[in-house]
Amino acid sequence: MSRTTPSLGFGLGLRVEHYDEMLAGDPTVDWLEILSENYMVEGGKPLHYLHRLRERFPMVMHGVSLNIGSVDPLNPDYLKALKRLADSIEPAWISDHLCWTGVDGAQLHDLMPLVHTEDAIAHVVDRVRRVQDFLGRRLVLENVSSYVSYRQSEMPEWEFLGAIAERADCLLLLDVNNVYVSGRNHGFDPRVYIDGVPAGRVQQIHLAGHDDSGPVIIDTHDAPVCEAVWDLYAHAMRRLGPVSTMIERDDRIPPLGDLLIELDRARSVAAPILRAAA
Amino acid sequence: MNALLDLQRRFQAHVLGSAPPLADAVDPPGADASTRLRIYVDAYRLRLIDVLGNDFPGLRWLAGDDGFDRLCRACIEARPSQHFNLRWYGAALADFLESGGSERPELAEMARFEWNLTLVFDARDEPIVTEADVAALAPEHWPAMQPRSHGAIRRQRCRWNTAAIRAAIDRGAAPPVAQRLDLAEERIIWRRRRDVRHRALEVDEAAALDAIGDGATFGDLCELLCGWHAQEQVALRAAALLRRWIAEQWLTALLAV
Repeated sequence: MSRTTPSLGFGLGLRVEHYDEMLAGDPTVDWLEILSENYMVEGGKPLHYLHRLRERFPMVMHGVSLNIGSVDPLNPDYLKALKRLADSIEPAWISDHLCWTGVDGAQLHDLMPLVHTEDAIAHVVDRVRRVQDFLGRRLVLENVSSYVSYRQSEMPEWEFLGAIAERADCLLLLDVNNVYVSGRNHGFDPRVYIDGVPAGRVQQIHLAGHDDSGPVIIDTHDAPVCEAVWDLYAHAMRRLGPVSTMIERDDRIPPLGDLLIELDRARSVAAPILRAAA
Repeated sequence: MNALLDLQRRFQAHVLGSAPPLADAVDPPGADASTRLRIYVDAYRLRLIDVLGNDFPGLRWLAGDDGFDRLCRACIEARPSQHFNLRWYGAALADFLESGGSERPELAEMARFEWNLTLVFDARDEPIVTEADVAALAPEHWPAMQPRSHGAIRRQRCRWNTAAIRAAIDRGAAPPVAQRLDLAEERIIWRRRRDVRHRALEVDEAAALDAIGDGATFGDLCELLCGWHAQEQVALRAAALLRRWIAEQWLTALLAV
């Protein structure tokens, strides 16, 4: 099974702080990832800037509220809003997270970990298929960072992720930082994780920073990518080949120039590996 | 499915504060599990407080950082988030304060004002009436013409210097001390081009805006304005208001009836 879309190159998560600079200059960004929920509004500045930027950059949509792993029914209002936005900006793909975000109508606004069981796989696969039917395209699912694991789990996370991708025929967004964070928190080798995911289904890669100051590493996305994650990214490149890669910064947003330097580093990590493999 | 449901309900109940840690279900066991679960417990509240802090800088200033944090946490406990999009949680804080969440009335007024600013910010785009539209209107059509106001407009009656405090914060200036106004003012909040603005309405202007919301024609406005102006002045006043509203971008259509 091949990826549906060839690599778009090296991108950034679009953030409000960079709107004007993105439009005024000629930043070396191949594509942009938008946070879907930020643009599920009716008008004003968000949609104005979104459409102007869409004229200049390929875009992908990244959501946090699909709640694909919850036992609650899929939210039709959310799905309609997602499709409306997708129809409007025609993204290269749509992603969300392999997690649950609330049950019984509550919203935790967090990426809660799933138990890795056959039952959970069957549950998520059915929902992914229904979402894909509704959207008329493959969904891209991202691995999340986690701080606890469940005793009921029957398999490691990479097997769980891979099984869902294969059975639901969906694609994957591999967050290399999240693999590293969860690896440290749960004591597994992140290289084994990357070696365990179905390579042909990885549509996109996230690179980000985290907080390593306490007993547990926290996925804050508010710092530069650390050396260990760069090493892991090189490992991923060797295994996966060219995959759309981006820097994802969600908090303590630095000047655009700082992110462009980080993005250049991703290019320089990937380039020799991809050349050697060509 | 039942096992999945049970696990998610127990986890969520712990995050929301109504159940102990599910230490028997998660690894690593023991005290370390509680510490790790605490990350999710804290993240839920901190994420909501962070969003509220962005949407309610005036309220935060009035309440102080600690007071704002306490208000937010009380609101989160009383009104757990129900909407998939964090962007809408601010409505809960404004409602919470208006229904007795604080004994300081200026806080509730500020919260409602700032929530109105947020609603206007990304409300639906609509066509804007221009001077050219007015010029194209034949004189005989003026009396029956119905101005229609923009859907993004919000109104609020303010009894405190709420708007002045928020305006100072937006300018990066030192806000004035909260003060009750001698006379309550009717404020309008709208979007001009893509920027959110607000100002006080004059009494006759507020009544005229209410009237066009109810479908009044230009002729109806002239009649209404007789309550404040001499008969020979009302057509001029109505025309002046119309020009002003067009300049402010409050009108989305001039309907010929």
